[in-house]
Amino acid sequence: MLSIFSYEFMRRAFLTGILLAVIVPCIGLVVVLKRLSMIGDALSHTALAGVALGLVLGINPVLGAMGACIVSAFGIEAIRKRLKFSETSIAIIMSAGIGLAGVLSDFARGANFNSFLFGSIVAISSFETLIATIVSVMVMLAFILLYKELFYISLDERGARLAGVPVKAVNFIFTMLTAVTVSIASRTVGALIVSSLMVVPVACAMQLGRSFKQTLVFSVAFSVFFMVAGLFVSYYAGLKPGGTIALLGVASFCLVSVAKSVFTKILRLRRQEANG
Amino acid sequence: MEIIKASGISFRYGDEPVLSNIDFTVSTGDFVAVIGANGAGKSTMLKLILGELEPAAGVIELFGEDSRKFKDWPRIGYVPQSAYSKLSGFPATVQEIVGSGLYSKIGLFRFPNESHRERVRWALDKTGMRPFAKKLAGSLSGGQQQRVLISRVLVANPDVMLLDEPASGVDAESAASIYDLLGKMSREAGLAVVMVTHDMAKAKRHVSRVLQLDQGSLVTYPKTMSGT
Repeated sequence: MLSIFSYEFMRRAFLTGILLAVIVPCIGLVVVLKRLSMIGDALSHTALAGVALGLVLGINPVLGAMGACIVSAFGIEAIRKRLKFSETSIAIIMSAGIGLAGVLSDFARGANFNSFLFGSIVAISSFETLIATIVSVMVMLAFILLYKELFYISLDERGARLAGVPVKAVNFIFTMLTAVTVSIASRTVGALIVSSLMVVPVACAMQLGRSFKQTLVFSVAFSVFFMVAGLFVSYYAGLKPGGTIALLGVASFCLVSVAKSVFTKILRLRRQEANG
Repeated sequence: MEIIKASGISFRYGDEPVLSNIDFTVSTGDFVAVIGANGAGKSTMLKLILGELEPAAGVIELFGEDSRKFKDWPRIGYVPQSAYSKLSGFPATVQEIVGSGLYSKIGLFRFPNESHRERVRWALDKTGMRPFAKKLAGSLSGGQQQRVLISRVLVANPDVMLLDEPASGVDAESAASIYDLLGKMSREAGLAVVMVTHDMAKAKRHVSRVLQLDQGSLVTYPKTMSGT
C-alpha cells in the first residue's frame, strides 16, 4: 500500500499537496463568506494566461501565473469599486483571462501548458515545491496575523471600516495572498479545478461548524483529506490527480449534506417523542 | 459633554436635495430618535455623521472636532440595519461576533487576551445575551441578533451609539425590549444614543428627544427633554 512513498516525485506531491490543502481553504473561507466564490475561477483562468505568456517568453510558468493572478486580482478590485457589482467584475476578468489564455496557448503548445489545465502534481519540480513551501508558510503566517481582521471584514466590511479596522490595507494583503495561492494551486490541482478546492471544503465545513474557528479547522481537515485521498486513488486507479481530488470533494459534499439532513430529522423526531 | 454638533448641514444626491440647513446637537446621555417618511434623509444623516458622506454645506463636529478631520472612530459605535441579513448563515458564535467589536482597539498583528474575553462577557451580560454566547448567531431570532450587534458595539465602550432601524424585522415585544435596553444604557451609563426609526409609536415612550425630518428639513417633535 505504501509503495507510493518509495518514489521521490510522490513524496514531493504529498508534501506540496498537503501544504496547499492547508492554505487554499483558509483563503476559500474568506472568499466564500465575502460572497466572491467565483474569484477562484476567474484567477485560475487568468493564471492560465500567465502560464502561456511565461512559456512564450521563456519565463517559469508558475511565476508567469503568479504575475497574471496578482494583476487580475487588483483588476477585479478596481472594477468592483467602479461598478459596485462584484459578480460583473469577476466575469470581466475571467473573460479577459480565458481570451488571453486561448490566444496565447496557440504560441505555447505542449504538455507543459496542458498540465496547467488539470494540474500535474506528480510532475512538479523541486524548484516548484520550494516556491509552494515558501508561499504556503507566508500565507499561513499572514492568515494567522490577520485572522481577526479577516473575520470582521468577512462578516461586515462596512462595519469593520467604521470601527477603525484598516480595511483597505487588509484587503490589499488578502488580494495578494489569494492571487499567489491560486497561481501555485493551479500548477498542482490544475487551473480548471483550483476553485473547487477553494470552495468545496468550505461548503462541507459550513454544514458542520459551530463557530468560525471550527469551520476553518473543518475546512482545512476536509481539504487535506480530499488531497491525500485523491492522490492515493489517482495513483492506484491511474486517474488525473486534480480531477480525482475535485470529484472526491463534491462526493463528500453530497454525503455530508445527506447525512446532516438525516441526522437533523432523527434529532427532531426524538425531540418530538420526548415531548410526548 | 457635547458629542455631535451639526450646523447648517445640507446634502444633495446629484440635483436632488435631501437635507437642507439642519442643526442639532447630541450630548452625553441623550436618547434621540430620528424619524421621517421613507426617503426623508434619515439614513443619509447617519452616513454624514459617520463620515461616509460629506455635506454640501455646513459642518458636523464630533467631540468638538470637524468630522472631516476626526480620527477617533472607535468612540462612535454603529449598529447597521438588518442584523438578520448580516448574521444569517454566517458560521460564527455570538461571542466571536461580539469580540470583533474590540478588534480595532486590539490592533493589527495582536491577539485577544483574557481581559478582552472578560469585556465580551460584560457586554453580553449588559444585553442579556450571555446564555447564548456559544450559539451560532445566525440561529437566533431577529431580536436576539439585534442584541448581538448592539453588544458588538457596546464592547468597545463608545461614547455614542448610532443605530439604523434597530427594530426593523423584529416582533413588537422584541422591539420594545430593544428600546428598553437602549434607554437603560443611555440613562445608567450616560451613553448617547441616536436611532433612526420609522416606528415612532413604539419608540417615543423610550426616547428623550425626537428629531423629525420632513422633506429634508428638521422639525423638532413636541417631546423635547433637552434642547436641539
